[in-house]
Amino acid sequence: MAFKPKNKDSLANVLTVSVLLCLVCSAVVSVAAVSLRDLQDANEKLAKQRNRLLAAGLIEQDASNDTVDEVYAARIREQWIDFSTGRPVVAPDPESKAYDFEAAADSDELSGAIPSEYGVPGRRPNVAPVYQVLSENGNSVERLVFPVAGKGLWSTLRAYLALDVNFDETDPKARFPIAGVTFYEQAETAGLGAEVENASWQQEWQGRSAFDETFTPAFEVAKVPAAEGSEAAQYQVDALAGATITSNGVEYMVNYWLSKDAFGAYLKELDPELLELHRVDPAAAEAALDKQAETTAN
Amino acid sequence: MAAPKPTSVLFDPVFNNNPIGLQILGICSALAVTSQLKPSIVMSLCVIAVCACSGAAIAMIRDFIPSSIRIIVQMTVIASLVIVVDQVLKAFVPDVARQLSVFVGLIITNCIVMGRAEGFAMKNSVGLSFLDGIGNGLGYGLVLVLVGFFRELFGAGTLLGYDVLNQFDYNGNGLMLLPPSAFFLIGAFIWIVRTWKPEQVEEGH
Repeated sequence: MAFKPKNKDSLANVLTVSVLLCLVCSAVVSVAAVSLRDLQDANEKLAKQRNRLLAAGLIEQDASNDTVDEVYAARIREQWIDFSTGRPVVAPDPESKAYDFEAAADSDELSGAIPSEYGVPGRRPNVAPVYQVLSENGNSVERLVFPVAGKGLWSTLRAYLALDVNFDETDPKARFPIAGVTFYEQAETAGLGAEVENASWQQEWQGRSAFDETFTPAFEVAKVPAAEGSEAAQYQVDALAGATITSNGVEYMVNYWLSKDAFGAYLKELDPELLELHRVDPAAAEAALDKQAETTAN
Repeated sequence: MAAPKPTSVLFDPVFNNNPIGLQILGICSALAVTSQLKPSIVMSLCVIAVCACSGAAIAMIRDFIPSSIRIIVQMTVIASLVIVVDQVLKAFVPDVARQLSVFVGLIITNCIVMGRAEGFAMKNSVGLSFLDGIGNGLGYGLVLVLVGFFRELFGAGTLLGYDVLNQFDYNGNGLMLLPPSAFFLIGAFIWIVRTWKPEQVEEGH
């Protein structure tokens, strides 16, 4: 090499080399991160859509990206809920902070504290989306998919919980039974808590009741499950062996998000006609809801 | 010191001086990512890329690296390259990136990469160090791909996700999907290579 430093172990050279190296390396890393951001975001969005469809039972595990796009566009409608009223609201601007509701839960002005009795630490965003699953002919809503989050042992668990919608039933047990679940973000211990991603365990959730007859969430992740067919068993899934804290976290998470302080209020008010109206004409639905509120107030 | 021949730099690490087989380095990731063939191949490509580029980069600045901070300098170069590789995987093959999870990040601590940077790139030219990186990455990748091939074939009955043995009413061997099976396969690989090249057998055994 043409140029060699006189004394490469001098203090000056140590400092020069470390500063230059850090600058070059950080530039390389930043360029890679920034230039690939769009592709990564698109992948993440697709992965979330895939998980919503999996929770709703609309696709197989190995469905192609095109299938996900197609089914998602045809069968899923997004509706935003304000947790302070339990009412549908206009979706926030996709560019705004509130639209990224997972991040909004960290912001003081865009979120509220979760009451401590639920055992779910942290905050919930003020508004969050509900994903409505339309029937094949697009005429009615068959399922609802809720984004939920809780704490496991090490990490935040994020999942999509799908409930069936049976408006013929008046008992909340049968009106909104669990249709499926997928965990799309977690960093629990591999082989123990990370088994929340196990498909055969998630299968167990299907058909369980989330609410008891008083519309209180009664879901249970049980270490010693009640006998199959008994009254208690209909609310239970098996706990994960060796993962007590993760299992408890999952139970608290479901029961909080379905409670009256979260999506429960929305589910309780859910009226088949309003739901249909909201899909076709959101403004008219808003007006109808306001009118309903006035009559109740009077 | 006489400069080594480019061809031997490139191909020696594959059989004669295999980093996993002879030096027993990089075993951890070889157990973790090889339950299927596809992640094994992707992981091998990542290690080849990181090993070659870090070797070249370190050889390029080897006359400037103060010996007191040389390990930190090597780590910084390797870590930056691994982050770039991780970002590329997340952008282009997100499902494989998810399967590999932390093991891409752990390439930073893969002794093979570090060992070649310290042992070879600090003393040799840019071109040779690049070839040496590719050679060692190939040696590592060969073992990974072989292990991944047998684990997926006998564990799940598929290859790259396509049914192979499954077409013949095959019942998967669950042990093959668990990390310990990679120990057996790597052991068998070492056995076969050392039978073929007895000079690799360590003294006193």
